[in-house]
Amino acid sequence: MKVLLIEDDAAIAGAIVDSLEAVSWDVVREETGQAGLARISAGDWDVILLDLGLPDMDGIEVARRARETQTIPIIVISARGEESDRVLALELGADDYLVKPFGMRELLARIRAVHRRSHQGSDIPEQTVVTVGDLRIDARERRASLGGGELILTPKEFDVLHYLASEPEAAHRRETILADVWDMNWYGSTKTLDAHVAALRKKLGNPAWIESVRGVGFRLHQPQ
Amino acid sequence: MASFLGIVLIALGVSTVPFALFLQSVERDRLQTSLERDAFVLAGRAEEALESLDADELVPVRDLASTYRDAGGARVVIVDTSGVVVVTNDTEEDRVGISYASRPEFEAALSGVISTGERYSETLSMTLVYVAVPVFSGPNVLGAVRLTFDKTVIDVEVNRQLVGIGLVALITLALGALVAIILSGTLVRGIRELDTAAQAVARGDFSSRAKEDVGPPEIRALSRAFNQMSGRVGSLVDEQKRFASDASHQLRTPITVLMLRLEGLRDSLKLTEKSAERFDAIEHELARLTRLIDGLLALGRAGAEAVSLETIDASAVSKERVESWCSLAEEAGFTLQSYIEDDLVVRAVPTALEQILDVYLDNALNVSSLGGEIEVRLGRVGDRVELSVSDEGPGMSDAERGRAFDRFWRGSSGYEGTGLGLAVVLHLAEASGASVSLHRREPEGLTAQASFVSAD
Repeated sequence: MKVLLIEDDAAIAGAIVDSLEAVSWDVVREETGQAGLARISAGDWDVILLDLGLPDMDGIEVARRARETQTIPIIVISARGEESDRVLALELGADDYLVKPFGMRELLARIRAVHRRSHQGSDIPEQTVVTVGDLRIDARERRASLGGGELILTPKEFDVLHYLASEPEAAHRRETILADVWDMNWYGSTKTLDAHVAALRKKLGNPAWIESVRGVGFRLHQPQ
Repeated sequence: MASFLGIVLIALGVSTVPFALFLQSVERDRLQTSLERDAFVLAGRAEEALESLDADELVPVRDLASTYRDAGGARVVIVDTSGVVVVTNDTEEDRVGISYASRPEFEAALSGVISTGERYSETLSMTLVYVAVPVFSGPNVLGAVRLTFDKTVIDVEVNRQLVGIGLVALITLALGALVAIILSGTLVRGIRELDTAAQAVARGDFSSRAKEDVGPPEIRALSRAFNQMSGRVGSLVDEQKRFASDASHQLRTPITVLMLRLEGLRDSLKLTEKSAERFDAIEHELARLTRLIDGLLALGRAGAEAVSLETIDASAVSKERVESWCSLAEEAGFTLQSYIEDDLVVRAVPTALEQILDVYLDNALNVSSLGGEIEVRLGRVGDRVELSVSDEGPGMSDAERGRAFDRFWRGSSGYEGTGLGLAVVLHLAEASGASVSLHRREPEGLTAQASFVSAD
């Protein structure tokens, strides 16, 4: 996997480079938007990691220009997790939006996920039905069933399940799930998510469906 | 406005009444003086006639007195030196020849002294003003002239003038009121403008400005000063909010570095069970730090945004929350009991009820590691809808309950929260016009309450 990292902060760049090199990926780091764009047009990359706060230009602008000529998946890294920031970045060409702080497992999972999607081809219509093993989730009808038996879920439980199922096997960060499923002004308690996961596990009949990932959040997969 | 008119009326009354009294005394003096003058003129004319006491000589004097009466003058009585009436200008002359010597005014006049005063005449049944003057011929008193006037004439004259003054006063009042209405109108408009702006600022809208071109100069100056003040406060608040937001965002980068480095380190080491636990503890703290940052951001937003209230189905929301929390509560060894009345609707900020209930439930699940019973109640109390979550934990002391809604307060129970949950609850409640409180629960435990405005 060849990864281009465009990030001006040496500390986080070093940490990311080390993390990716630990799994034997090739990483090249650039400090400015201009240098990054030059690298993008010159090289053959699998994934681009792009920080938004660059010294010479806005990261969003880098994503927009890169998108004019390239189809390489771009993951934006930002400290701002507000919905408006994420929507803007995704609208202007980013494939994923990673909010700081994040751990190594989440970073790797996100990179693998966008890479996999880009290889599956981007022209497939958006799926309304997701299946994970025996689990079938219909987003349009907002219904979920397990092995043919309908699951009776509250709206938020459905949203959490659908969110986890959108990328099975990947570890989803608590804060991201909360920000995506709940209102951006939500600060009830991060236990809210645990409450919903506990309810889902019970309804799915087997706690192994939703695995707790230490320090990160949750992962959905078919129990072995 | 009414009070303003009242003040104008009182001011007019205070200045007009003494003036009327003064006018009355001036009018009386004026009449008396003119009676005295007339009396002396008649006395001069009567001097010769009285000297001779010739009936023919008396005729022109009588004619003069009659003419005087017909011209609106006073009643005239002339007596000789012995006090006997010789001339009157009455239409009937029946009093001629009668002695008036014993009347005090004639007695005084015949002794050479001018006598003036008022007395009540029983024959005429009216109060009379009189002037009696002696008729001198050299040093000798030849007789006396008395003029009498109906006193009501003075009153009539005074009243006539008072009516004039009253009219002037009324016109003054009307003009004054008109000026007052115009003046107070601009004054009130200026103050209203200022009041509207001040209320908006009180609600947290620092962009609100009072109009600086309404009302008198003083109000304009006040509006300008107010606008400068709210502008400055607004920019200070913005700066503080920006600082909190920037600081929160800036903290995310080093935390990310720590998380990445820690995971890398962990994976590169062969860990014993003991050291793995220590890594867990560090990661746990990092996760808490992240929650703390999220909480600070949420708190900044909750306090800053003017959100509108919505009607919320409190019964449905509460039931849904309780159902969601049931499994987690069971896993932690708690039983969740709920007593939720149907069809209760409240006015609140969107999601405030859920968030408050979640924080309360989260706290209740953390009071004990042994489990127990948690009770959720939703019911109507008057025009309020009350939500309560009760636990069987150790409860809180009065001092702890007093501080529990403060930011970063985390109590003594050793619960590893961010210390922001209840602070956010308080913010949400205030934005929703709700009140929140903690109570001792008998025999043991804590009841967390929230009282919302019913939307019914």
